[in-house]
Amino acid sequence: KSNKKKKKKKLPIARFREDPNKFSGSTHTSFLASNATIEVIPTSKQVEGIYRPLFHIANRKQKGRYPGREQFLDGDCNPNVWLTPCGRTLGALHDLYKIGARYGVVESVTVVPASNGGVIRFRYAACAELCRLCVGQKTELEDRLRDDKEFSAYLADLRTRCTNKTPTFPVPYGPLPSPLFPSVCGTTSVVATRASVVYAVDIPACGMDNRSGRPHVKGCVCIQCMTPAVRKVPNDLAHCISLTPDFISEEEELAILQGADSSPWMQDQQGIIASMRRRVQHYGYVFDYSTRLADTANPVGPFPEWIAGAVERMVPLYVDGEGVRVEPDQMTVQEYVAGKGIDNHVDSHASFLDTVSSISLGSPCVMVFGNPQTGKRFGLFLPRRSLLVIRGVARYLWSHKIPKRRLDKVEGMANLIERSRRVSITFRRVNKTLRCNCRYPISCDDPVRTEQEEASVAEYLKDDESKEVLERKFVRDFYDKVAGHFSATRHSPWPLVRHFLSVPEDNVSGSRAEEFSRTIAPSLRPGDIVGDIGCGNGKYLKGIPASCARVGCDLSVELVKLCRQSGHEVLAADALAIPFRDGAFDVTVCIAVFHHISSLERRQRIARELLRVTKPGGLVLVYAWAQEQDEDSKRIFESQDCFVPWHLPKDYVEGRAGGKSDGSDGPPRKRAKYGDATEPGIIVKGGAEFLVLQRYCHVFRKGEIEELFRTTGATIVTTYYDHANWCVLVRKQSS
Amino acid sequence: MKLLTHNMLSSNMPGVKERYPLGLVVGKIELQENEFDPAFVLHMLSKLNYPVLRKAASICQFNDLPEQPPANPTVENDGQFLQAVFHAI
Repeated sequence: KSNKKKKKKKLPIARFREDPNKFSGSTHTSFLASNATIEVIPTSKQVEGIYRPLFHIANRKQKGRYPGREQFLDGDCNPNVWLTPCGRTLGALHDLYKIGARYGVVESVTVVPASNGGVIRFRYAACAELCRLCVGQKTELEDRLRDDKEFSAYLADLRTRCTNKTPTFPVPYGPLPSPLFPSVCGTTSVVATRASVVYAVDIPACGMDNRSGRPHVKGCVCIQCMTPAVRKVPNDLAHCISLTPDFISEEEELAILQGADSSPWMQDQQGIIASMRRRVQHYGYVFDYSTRLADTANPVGPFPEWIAGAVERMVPLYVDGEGVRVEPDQMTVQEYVAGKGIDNHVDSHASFLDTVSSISLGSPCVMVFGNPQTGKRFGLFLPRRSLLVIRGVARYLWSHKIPKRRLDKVEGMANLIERSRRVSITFRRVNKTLRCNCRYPISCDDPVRTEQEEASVAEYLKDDESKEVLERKFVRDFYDKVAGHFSATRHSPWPLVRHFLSVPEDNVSGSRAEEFSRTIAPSLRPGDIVGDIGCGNGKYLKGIPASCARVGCDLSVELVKLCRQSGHEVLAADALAIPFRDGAFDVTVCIAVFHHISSLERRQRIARELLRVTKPGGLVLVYAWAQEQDEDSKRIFESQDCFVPWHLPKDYVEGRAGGKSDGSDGPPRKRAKYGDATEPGIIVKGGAEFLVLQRYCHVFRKGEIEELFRTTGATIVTTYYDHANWCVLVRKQSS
Repeated sequence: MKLLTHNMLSSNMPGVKERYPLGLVVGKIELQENEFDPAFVLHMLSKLNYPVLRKAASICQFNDLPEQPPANPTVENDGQFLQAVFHAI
């Protein structure tokens, strides 16, 4: 089969048409001539500006934005091509040479002009196997470069300076001296318009003008803007974090790695996402990642002899609170293949004593430390064969994580540091008492401390009367107290709900409409009446089109007052006895209500009420908090019934001055009263004081909310998971 | 509260025999200017309980609603009627 464009070189076209993702070999830029499209699918939400592109041939029969798209896993991507979308207008705003030079020593730069921008090739030293590709967003580039005199001048300048020979301008970026990485090799092409780039997600502007108004991608940072990791521990933490480079020699490293690889690796059972799973080995005691506690009752054998030397040198570092030396008795070996990391966490207070140390073998990486109280964060570069020791505040309060990426930016190092397979060995001392008296309850997982909380919930759930009290004090009164703050922090409607509460013609979701409609479709027609039961601050009432009528109700009088101030038709009512007549609504929504209801019987009553006030054949949409929170959530629900704290800023508490006097900037801040909430503690975060109030929650297991509606006789239209909620869409019988 | 809302309200108190409509006692009457939308009114008419609306409107001293609504009201022919209903709801 012949390609449309005739090329002078012979291209392995046949190979491409089979499967470009299996491509390997030295004709690395030839794919650009084929009709393959490059699709960017981030390997995880946390990947910072670096994506692994996939190649697929556009299916001619299937027109549309993502023809023939399938789910790809991390390992399936072409290992030879890297994509760096450094900002929206790569090529027009960024110095391309600087970008290219990050990957290694630039030997030459060639510019092949084309009518609409051109191709810029960077050639690096050595090995022909590797190829790096920098691609900008096609439509952006096309627009910008077509008439961009500045870019054309830049190209012309590059052309005169370095066509086919070593660049003449000073090269401020030298090679990275490292035995692990040979000089980066191959060619880097900046293809202004030739490659067709289809973005699966939008690339953030990272502080630059977001001209097209597209949303940022959560957790993504472009390389140019990424804060470099530091090589030295910040002074204020020097007393509790120490980094010893060259703690073990290269021979020792080799011996330890051989020792570890000849021992059996286990797959850890971490989380829901397969890409998170790492291989581990435990010695001394087993650490369970799903409960985040050490199994202190069952020791699993002594440390292996291949680690003995390193342990001996490390022992002087292990001291407890009184300065008494206690040797580590738990060791965890973890494997991090390039691109894998570990989520933000604090090492278990309940399971382990103070000092935690870790040796990095095989590859360097960056560990990001974060202070949950102040929000301060920094990345620390961990070189190969280095020893990291944390204690005190750094171990008990600060959390740490290893970002899931393949390249790290480190201060003082011109080029990005590439990660390869890293093995970490962490040493800890097991805490047999499981009790912790630290000063950092925000990070503490002492089960007795948390159990005390759970015990009080259980007390309330014992009989019907106390359940009512539970809901009155820790739901109704809670919301009355926090109404102003709650409303101020709840302004963005969840896109899927907004999509559902719209008429199709209005296309409120724009380019994402098709995507959303695969989960749930716009349900409204002009003239429909919508009921929002538990409307909170009226967040969803606001978005309902003017061609439809809407009414809301909420248990909290204070929230209702805020809604009415905004002009919504809202009244105070109890979802257990909704004061509307049968079939009043065409569509009913009940968002974030069910997880405040304390018994199955009450939840069933509400389900029946929701259906009663909906017309026959009408739809009911329900959202309720899931027990299975996704990996980013700070809340891990171990039990389905619990108190969830709310931090109310002091300004919102009565007795303090604050808030606008005439409400011209929106509803005036509602002042709550110090009341009878369970132990209203005060905590300090980021230097400000907050009153801690408790909210009762019953979080739902997968399938539970669905089950609730099955017994009502209505039809389940669809169920899904959205923003840490289990959601169900139900249709009332037509009668 | 809009009379449209009142038209939908019903009592949920246990032991109440006549749950609908709720009695209406006027505290304050507020008139709000809104853009007349005849299509909207037509849709609402099909869902409202008309006698209840008429009674509620008259309690609010608005007596322009006829005893019987037209059989098949349309935008062209019943403009005045629709305006009155719109004003009421």
